[in-house]
Amino acid sequence: MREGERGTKMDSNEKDFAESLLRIFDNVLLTEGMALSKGYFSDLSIAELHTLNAIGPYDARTMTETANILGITVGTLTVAIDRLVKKKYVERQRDTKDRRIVRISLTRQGKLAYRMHSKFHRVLVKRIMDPLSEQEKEILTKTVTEIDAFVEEQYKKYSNGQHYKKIVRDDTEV
Amino acid sequence: MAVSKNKENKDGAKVPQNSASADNKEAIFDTLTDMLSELLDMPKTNFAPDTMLFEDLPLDSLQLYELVVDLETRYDIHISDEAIEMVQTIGDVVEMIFNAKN
Repeated sequence: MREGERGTKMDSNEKDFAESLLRIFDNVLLTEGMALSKGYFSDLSIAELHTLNAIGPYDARTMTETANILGITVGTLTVAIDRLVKKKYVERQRDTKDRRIVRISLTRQGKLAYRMHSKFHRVLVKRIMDPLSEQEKEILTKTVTEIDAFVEEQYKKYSNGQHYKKIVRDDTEV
Repeated sequence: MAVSKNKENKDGAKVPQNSASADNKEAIFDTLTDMLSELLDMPKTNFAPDTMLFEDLPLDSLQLYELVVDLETRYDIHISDEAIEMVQTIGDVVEMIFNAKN
């Protein structure tokens, strides 16, 4: 292969890769949204589900902890939690020792939604990984970890030191 | 995976009736089948330790998670998704809860 041809081939590969990556971002979210609207928890938005994920199925969290995980303000979270309490996915309790602290936790229905949603993620990963050989799985995992680290670096540049993995894709929807 | 019906511990020694924990395997089996009976609207006589959860029972994925969430609350345990994927029979669930409690 001549130098010029090689360059063109690389450019075309990179373009395909960039397009695939963006399509994956969009379509995973879209598929999640559609699966949700057709499932048992059709009254929840994807952003609300991610709020349930941030609260987690076990110990109660404070509003500040949860807002930090999601990378949103406590004010924005309060609005989101009001709606989730109304829909009976989340409950609020006052701390028994310090009444000023409000803790939030998932109701039975919230825990069910959390479990079903994490099943969606697991099935997605299983479908991607199952056809691959052990070596291919290893390479894919390593590459994805590297992409994650790179995106984290980019994220930090713009986020004023906020914790990575706390991106809420559409917090107006919450 | 069978559920031990007798009151013997691992070494085969008899465990006195009154010292049996409230969460022994028989009690767990009893609670679990109560929950299944209510969830699936089926009599308890339909459930045995070797009953296959998915082949023998009309248990869908939402009902499975209802059961998991209720068991976590009832026994104050955490049940991982990996553990759920391993269970096949009612006896497996009893074993999983028993191990998580002990």
